[in-house]
Amino acid sequence: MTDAAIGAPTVTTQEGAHTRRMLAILWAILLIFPLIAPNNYIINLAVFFFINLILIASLNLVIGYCGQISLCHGAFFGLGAYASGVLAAKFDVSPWLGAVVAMGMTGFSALLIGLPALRLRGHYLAMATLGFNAIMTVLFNEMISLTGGPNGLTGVPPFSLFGVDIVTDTTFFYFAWVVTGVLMLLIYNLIDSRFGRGMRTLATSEIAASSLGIDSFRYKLIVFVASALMAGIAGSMYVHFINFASPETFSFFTSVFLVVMVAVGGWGNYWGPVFGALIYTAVPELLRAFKDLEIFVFGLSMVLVLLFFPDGVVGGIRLAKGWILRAYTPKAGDAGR
Amino acid sequence: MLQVERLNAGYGNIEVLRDLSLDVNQGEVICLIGSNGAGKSTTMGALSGLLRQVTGSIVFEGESIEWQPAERIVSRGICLVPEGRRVFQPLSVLENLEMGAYRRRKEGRRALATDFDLVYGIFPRLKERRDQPAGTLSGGEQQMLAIGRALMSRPRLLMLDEPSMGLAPLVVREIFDVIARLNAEGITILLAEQNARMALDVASRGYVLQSGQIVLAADAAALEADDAVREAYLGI
Repeated sequence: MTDAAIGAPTVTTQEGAHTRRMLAILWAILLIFPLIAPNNYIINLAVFFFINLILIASLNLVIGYCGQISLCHGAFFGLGAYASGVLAAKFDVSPWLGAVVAMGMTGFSALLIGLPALRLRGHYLAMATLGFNAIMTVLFNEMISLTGGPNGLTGVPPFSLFGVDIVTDTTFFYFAWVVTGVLMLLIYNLIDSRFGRGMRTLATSEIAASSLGIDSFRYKLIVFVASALMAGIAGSMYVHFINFASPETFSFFTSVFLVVMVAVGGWGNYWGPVFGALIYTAVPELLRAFKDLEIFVFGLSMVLVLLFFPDGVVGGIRLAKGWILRAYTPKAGDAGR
Repeated sequence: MLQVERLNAGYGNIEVLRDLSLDVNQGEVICLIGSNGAGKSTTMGALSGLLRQVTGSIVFEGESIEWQPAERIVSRGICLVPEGRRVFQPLSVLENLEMGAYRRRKEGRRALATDFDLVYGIFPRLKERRDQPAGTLSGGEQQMLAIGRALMSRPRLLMLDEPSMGLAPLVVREIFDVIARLNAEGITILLAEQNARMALDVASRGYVLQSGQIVLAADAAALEADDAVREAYLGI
């Protein structure tokens, strides 16, 4: 009887089936997006949405699920982009192989940072990653013979599949659709596993987790490395899509913005990054009209969102749902009387 | 079962415990009483391996454990129910209990079945709320869950840090009844409490902590009768 009770589906697994269904529906809708998009510019933005989604969703694993602040996701993104881009542009290496090397390099650097920084409890990861991002920015700028320095890396070839280059916005859209879809499913499988539950305990209470003998260091390190790998993939996609890379794209500010987007979407929530990526992709485009004020307006709106919806957009939606339900229920009760 | 000798522990430059010695015998309920900041939680942290800035000797069942990390200490049979309950709020009650058996994850589900039975037997309310997120439980239920979660690691020595904190008197009584029952079932208990009256009722012996030092050690009955204890901790 008890065995059945333990094996019986818990709330999580029901939620799991529901979330996977939602993901499938969302991805099915996105499949026809290029057909209904009014122009290539919108499809181009959609590609950036996918890339940003990978970045924000992978960072959410570290911040939202493990409770660690990482301030170098932009640098991992950049390392992935430069590793893959330089190999292809200067050494004629296939972009596919370049992407693998990019993942290897980002994963390895995450291991080097994480090994000392994650052993300590507290904000040591934030400090170590802050330093790492600064170092990477200097390298991107100064290793001119490889990276092209401040002028940027040019002449990066696109991915090609079966002799066909993935160059147009639409073909790249479908490529990104597949890669991002697979990664989002992998992320969900990770969250909805035994490992995922262990991971979530860290963000709730590391003390309680340790008191039960959960090796928090191991969890944090694995997640940090996995998240860096995904940022490396995003970097590789980025560089072979726009065929160019420039140091400021991967600066400390990018890292900060990504952290903010995790928060704005709703940290520790699977769907949060979808909203975060949507905002991060669309809002700067909409704010083009403000020119110099763009960053100011962007920053201010972020502060306001976080002030009124500390759980991000997802939390806001949940609040709104509550209001609507409450506004509706008493009327139904009156009618009953 | 547990012998602690000349234990010093602290945070950074701040030394909290000074030459603290105590011992716990198999089958006892021992309580540490003391006011806020006396060093009760620091003692608990040092014994459970959560606090690593420790010198002195801690011997559990004949083995030195003062240098071992928390996960090893849990595997050896010491489990701490931390102060303020600290249940994993977004996880369901069932998942919280599963996390309690984290160190035993290789034993498989069947091995855990009897432990679920045991915990649900002691706390029937946890069974009713099995699928509910732990954050939606009342304070008393969360304390029960925190104790149940610790039991899932099959401790031989259960340490409880301020189990009465923030709970209604009736609920506190219920929790202490459970502590007595667990002890009757063979679990040795080390309890840190500000609520000295309740703690001394259930304990066999007690230690009084003041500014990181033990100032008094005696049988529970003797402590209850001690004038200084009565005045300082029992409010008589």
